[in-house]
Amino acid sequence: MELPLVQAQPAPILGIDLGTTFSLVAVFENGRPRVLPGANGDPLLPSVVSFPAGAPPLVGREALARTSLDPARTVHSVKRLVGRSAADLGPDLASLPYRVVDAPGRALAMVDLGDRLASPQEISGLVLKACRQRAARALGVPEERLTRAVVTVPAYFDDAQRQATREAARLAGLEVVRMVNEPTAAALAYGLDRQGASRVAVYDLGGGTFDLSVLELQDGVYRVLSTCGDTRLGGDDFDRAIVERMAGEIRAKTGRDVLEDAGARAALRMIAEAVKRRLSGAEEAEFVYHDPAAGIAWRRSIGVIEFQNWIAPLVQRTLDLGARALADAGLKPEDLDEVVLVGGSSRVPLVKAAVRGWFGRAPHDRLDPDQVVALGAAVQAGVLGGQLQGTLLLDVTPLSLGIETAEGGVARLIPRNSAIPAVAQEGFTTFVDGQTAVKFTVVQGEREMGRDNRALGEFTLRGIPPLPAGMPRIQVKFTLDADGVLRVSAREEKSGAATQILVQPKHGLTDEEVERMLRDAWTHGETDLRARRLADVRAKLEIVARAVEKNLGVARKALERRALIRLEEAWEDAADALAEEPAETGDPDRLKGILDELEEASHPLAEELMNRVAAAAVRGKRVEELS
Amino acid sequence: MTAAVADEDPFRVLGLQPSYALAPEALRSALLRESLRWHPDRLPAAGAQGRQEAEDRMAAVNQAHAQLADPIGRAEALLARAGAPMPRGTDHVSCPGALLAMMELKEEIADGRAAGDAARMAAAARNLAEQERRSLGELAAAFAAWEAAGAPPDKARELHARLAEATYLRRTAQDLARGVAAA
Repeated sequence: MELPLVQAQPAPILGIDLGTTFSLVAVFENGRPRVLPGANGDPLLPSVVSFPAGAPPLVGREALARTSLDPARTVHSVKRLVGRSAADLGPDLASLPYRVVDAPGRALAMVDLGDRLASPQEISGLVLKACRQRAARALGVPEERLTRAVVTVPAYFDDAQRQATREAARLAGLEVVRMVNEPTAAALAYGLDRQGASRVAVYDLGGGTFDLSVLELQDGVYRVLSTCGDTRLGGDDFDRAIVERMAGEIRAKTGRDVLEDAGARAALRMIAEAVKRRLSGAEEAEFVYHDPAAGIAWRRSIGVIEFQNWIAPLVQRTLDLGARALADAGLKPEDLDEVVLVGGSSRVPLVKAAVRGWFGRAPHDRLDPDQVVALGAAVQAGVLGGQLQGTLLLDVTPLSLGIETAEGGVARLIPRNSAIPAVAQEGFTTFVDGQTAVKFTVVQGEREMGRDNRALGEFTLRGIPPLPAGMPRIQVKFTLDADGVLRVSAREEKSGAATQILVQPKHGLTDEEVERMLRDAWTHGETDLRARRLADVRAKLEIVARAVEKNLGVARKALERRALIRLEEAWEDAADALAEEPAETGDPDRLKGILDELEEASHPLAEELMNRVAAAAVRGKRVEELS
Repeated sequence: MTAAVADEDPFRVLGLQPSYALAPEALRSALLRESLRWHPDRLPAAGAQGRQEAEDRMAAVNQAHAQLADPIGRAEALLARAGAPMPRGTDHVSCPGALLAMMELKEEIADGRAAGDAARMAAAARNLAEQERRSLGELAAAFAAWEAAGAPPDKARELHARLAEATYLRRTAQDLARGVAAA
């Protein structure tokens, strides 16, 4: 009676490393993690999806083979687009052979296939689906039974990127039972057979992302102390450094810009990647590019020293981020027992040498850098499946979470590198007399690094009793679960008014949304944007005008005559404009001009008020007693 | 429910003997012990409610650990236990002397930045770090003396001024670090 017994076993949880360049799938069985090879025996599945016209999409090697043939419809490195807008991607876009646009009316990157737009979630979902099929074949289990997975993401992925990855898995029919940070997964695989206590740094340089995590290992408990990284730094950038130089030289010699052609971009990138790989062992490699149609026959020898000079700034950046992770953990390089190299790009000799120089001794490079993350994902699958009792992973949140305050600053509730699950509370109050609603914007990131700071979502607490500004007591609570999913609630303590949200990032989407967006694409986008802008400008102008009005008495006493006249005129203009430009149909540009002038004109008043506050504090008086 | 957990005494959450001079090793083993007990991954068979409870409990453990790992957080926890919690948002009011000194330092750093004088900025930042160290040292000594006297609740309030100063210095240093990074 073998059949019923097999069916009685729970289907294994898959461990999937969804990489920029390659993906792998592994399972935990018989006390060990094991990577599952494809039908061709290769454990690496290229993370490439090609959309041949009039045929189902191809994934993996078959898709990779179409890179130069059908560049505009063959998508590689889609991980760079996940949870991002076209504007976020900036210079990355120009080097891609396929076209990326924002979804109409939204900050959401999509691949333009010509006849339709494909979301990064859909494309990543096809890669995950291929992983699932591969596992089903290797394990001899029907695909429908493989429904749960541990999926790894770069430690430095933000909330939007994580949610988008989860959506991709859903499209592939997989529930993500845990998202594990890639360097942490690597540490799980690294520590599997180790006893005792040690401190390690995992240096993870993949195709498109870099992470450095510092961990403490003790008796099966893996505790992450800090993590730091860059989701836009990886081996792809090494390839690009070669491509840009070669294209520049070809342009200088022939006057032709080969990068204008998508097919040539794809071909150059593949040649560059091959050159990079050869330079990991050889002193020099030939870069050969022929395009008879364009009359280009290019042959150039690249020396390893030359290549190292090109990528040195990128490698230095990884070391700078590593130094920050160590500082956050309160450690120095000599406090580490080992640095573990992970990710295919850590094979580059300059990277190894740089890490050795930083750490003061040879890094640990005996794990297969391509497989170790997938193996670690399978270990965590073993933990969650109850097969590995003594192992526990304690991870941190990579980026600070906070609330944008009325003044435009950020109140951080959960600082970066806080252990998860985490809970935090902070008190807020109103800004204007009689205010009955407060809008909160939830943000993620370190403010001093602009491009990493992202607005995750907004919510409004209503029903606040109309009290003088500063009187209501609003408690905002953040709860971050073991998966890093954030829940936010707010409560006014006097009235009990409460609101609660699960933060839905603005980069997320549902399938229905994608379809709807495509349908009414260009009809509403423009008006939506204008309405939002109008509402924002109006609200801001109202706040500033009211603050000025409240303090006109101070202004009349303290300000110099010309400044006072300017302020009063700007304030009157603002009051008129607010009356004349209604909330639905007003002209945002006019309001913006008036707002700018009012802000400018109120500077002397703001300074005067600040001075009073500071002076009061020095005298030991309570600030509130002043006004 | 979670709010109650979050307000709990962090020493009790981690099963530790209250003391300002808490050994880092003791704190760490308490964290590991409580994590093995409460982390949701350790309870894969728990239902939704059990899992939520584990999440809340583990979040409280992490919060308690973060608070006790920080000397200022530790001081606040001890004062709260003694029935003399530090009033919120009053640190700058309780130490006008420090405020004045800090405003001068801030100005010095702003001037240094305006003049593009990195050495001047660095000197001011060092000065600030030095004051922060001194203040934390005095705080530790004051708590040691207080605990040696049996941690009398009626004397707890006398520690407020020192704690206020240390808190204020730290915040100023953080603000400056952010400002310098942004510049």
